[in-house]
Amino acid sequence: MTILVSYLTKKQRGGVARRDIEVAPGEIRLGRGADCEVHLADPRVLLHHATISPRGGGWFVEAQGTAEMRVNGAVTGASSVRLGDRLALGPYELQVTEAPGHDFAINIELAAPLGDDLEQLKKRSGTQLKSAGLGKRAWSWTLAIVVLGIFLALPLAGFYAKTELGQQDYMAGAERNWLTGSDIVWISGKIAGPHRFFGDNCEACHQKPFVMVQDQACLACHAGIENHADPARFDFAAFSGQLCQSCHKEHNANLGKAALVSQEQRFCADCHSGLKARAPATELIDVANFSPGAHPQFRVSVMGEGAKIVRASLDASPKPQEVSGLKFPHDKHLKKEGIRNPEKGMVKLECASCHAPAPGGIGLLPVRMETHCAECHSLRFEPKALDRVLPHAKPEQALMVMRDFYAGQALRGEVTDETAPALVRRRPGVPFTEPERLEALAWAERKAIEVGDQVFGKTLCASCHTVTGGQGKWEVAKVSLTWHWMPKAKLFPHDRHEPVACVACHDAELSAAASDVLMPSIKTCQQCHGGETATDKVPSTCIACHEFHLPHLSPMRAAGGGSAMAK
Amino acid sequence: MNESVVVYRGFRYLKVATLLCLLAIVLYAFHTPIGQPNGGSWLGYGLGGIGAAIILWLMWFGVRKRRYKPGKVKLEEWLSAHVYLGLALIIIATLHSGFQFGWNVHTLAYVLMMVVILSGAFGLYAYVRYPRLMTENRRGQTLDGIFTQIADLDRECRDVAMRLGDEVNDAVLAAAQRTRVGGGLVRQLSGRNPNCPTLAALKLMQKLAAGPRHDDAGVRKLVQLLAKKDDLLGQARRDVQLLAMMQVWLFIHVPFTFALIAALVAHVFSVFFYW
Repeated sequence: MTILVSYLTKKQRGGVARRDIEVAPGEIRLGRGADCEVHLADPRVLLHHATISPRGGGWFVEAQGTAEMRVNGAVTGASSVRLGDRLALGPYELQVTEAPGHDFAINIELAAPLGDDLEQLKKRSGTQLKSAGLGKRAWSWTLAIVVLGIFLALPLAGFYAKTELGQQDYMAGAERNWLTGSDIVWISGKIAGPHRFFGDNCEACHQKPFVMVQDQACLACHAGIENHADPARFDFAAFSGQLCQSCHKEHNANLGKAALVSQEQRFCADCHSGLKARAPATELIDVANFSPGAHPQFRVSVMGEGAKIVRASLDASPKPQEVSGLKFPHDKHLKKEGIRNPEKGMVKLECASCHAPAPGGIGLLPVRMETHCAECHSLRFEPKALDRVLPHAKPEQALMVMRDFYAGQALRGEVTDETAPALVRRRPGVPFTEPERLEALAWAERKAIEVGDQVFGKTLCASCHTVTGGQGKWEVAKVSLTWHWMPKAKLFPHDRHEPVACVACHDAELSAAASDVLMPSIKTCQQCHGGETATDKVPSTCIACHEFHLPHLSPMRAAGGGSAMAK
Repeated sequence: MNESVVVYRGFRYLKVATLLCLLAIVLYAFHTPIGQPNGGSWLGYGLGGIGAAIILWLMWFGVRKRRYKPGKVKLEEWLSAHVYLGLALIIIATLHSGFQFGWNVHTLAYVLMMVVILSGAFGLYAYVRYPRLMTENRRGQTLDGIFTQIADLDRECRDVAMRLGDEVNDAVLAAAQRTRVGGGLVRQLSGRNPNCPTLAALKLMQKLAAGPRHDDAGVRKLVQLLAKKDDLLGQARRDVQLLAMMQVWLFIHVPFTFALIAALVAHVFSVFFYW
């Protein structure tokens, strides 16, 4: 008996083509190899895929090695073979059937043909970007909607949410959330330091949509900010048509100190370089910048006769003189070898011995007799009475102190002066008669006035003050000191000039009279400071020394209107 | 499309764009607003307006190129102007910004615009350079033709491998059934398919051919066939790569243009809303 092997091939037009071979019984090898009894010509089949062999009166199929095999649908390595069994070897299906005249038949059919290589290659390959998941329309919509949502709709919704909730709450520091704080994406630049404490509240300044920031927003805090010039005298001084923000540009914090206040030369020089032509009524001198020749010599406001302020250029002839009522030779006090202190001997004084910077470093503290002068200029009037000191700046009391002192001495008979009458020089303890007592007091009165004439007119007061009169009626000239030498400029920041010696600017060592004005000339400043474009000096613009809003003038803008800042 | 867009009518639009930029630069140099240069001065508003108008006009190209009816102005001329005015925006918009950048909608619009311009610049480069590279790479064939050759080689390889051992046969079968050209975005753009089964099969055959089976005619034949296939695969992948390069920028250029328009609307709205 033999085994019938039938290869079945489906025809394109229907029907099945059949090719039979007979195989001798015994071990039957199935595989791709040419030496196999059952040849399965497909690359998906192993050279030797499986073996069917007789065993114990039946048949047995065994897959070779790792070959894949199914028997009746179940994956298996080995199995007995019965009629009706279906075997699957790679792409082939084999059916074991009865066959008259044979042990059995195996019908072989290629169930899964290889298919078209070209088509499959194309199917596997991706040669178009569209097939890689890229698209234009969907991405365009998505990106546009995301951007509009986050950067337009959300901040806008936040704005109206705040309006509804009441902006006051936000000014009062109410916490902002993702909605009410979302307008941060609209910020056009960092907010200047002083404004940052309310900086995340845009409506504080941007009060009405589509309306430029109005002055009320600024005046809510900066109420009373002064004019630049007197609007009653100069029509341009009102700067009508201009807003605060025309000059003060916010969201420029990266400019540092110029973030809000323009430091530029032209900001001032555009008008002040030809001010006379623009405003003939002005008393100001034209100025273009701080380079030599472009800025007039400093004019000082000096205390003049009768405590009247006199304004004069430092170059004026005669030179401006301060009529302070004092005598004070700076040169004597600043002598290199020092000056004699009655108790300490020679003492070397410095500027700082009398002139101390005011707290904040801007101005200087006033010089005080008690603090700065009294150590040398003692107000003792009697060498024998070291505990008696005249009060400063109180002539009547001074006379009383002296009268009291000499009366006491006379009544006790303690006077040692040999020119004095014997009455007041007698042994202590002997009582006076009434006429004697009156005589002693009369002597004391004469003595007090005599000493007073010396003290006021020559020895003590007169060394610093101008004293007139006598015989108990002395007039000490009133002291009037200049307070602000250059009132059109800001107070001078002495602290920032600390490395420079005082005498480098102030000629105190050469000044013999208190009337000398020791303010430095513009040339002194120009040694270090130049105009805006200076390359070899500190570039200094007008705003370094001058202010735009002048403190003595009336408010520039009337405050009014509601403001988010107003509580 | 080729270099003609670049040189159109003796660089007419290059000249127009250059003139526009020079004018903007000169005005910017002499412009001294209070504070620092920014979009809110008269020059800032001017440059911003011109920039926005140019952006809208450039977008109109997307509409114009879809009209197949020839207009008064040739598409080529439109594109030439599109390219040069688009590049001019780099200068106009930067001057408009006054070089102030931050984490806000304004800088977002600027960045999106730069993405659009730079992707467009790459597109111009691709359109000028890659068609020639594609022609050279194809050597007179089409991608379909190359694929057909690869499929034919697969069949031939399988026939040869049929008679050979399972190891060889498996490698050849895998080379035929799992080799890919292109695929995802990265594969297409890189022009590389790592772990290519064809290359693996070729290496195996070369190893076998150098070993004890060096006299096996089947293996030697497979070395030849697979080497040829590998060549063709390289050619096909390069073709896909070049095509992808010519297309990919547009997938950035177009969606980012719409994102830019959205950001531009938000930018203009917000600066006037909080004026």
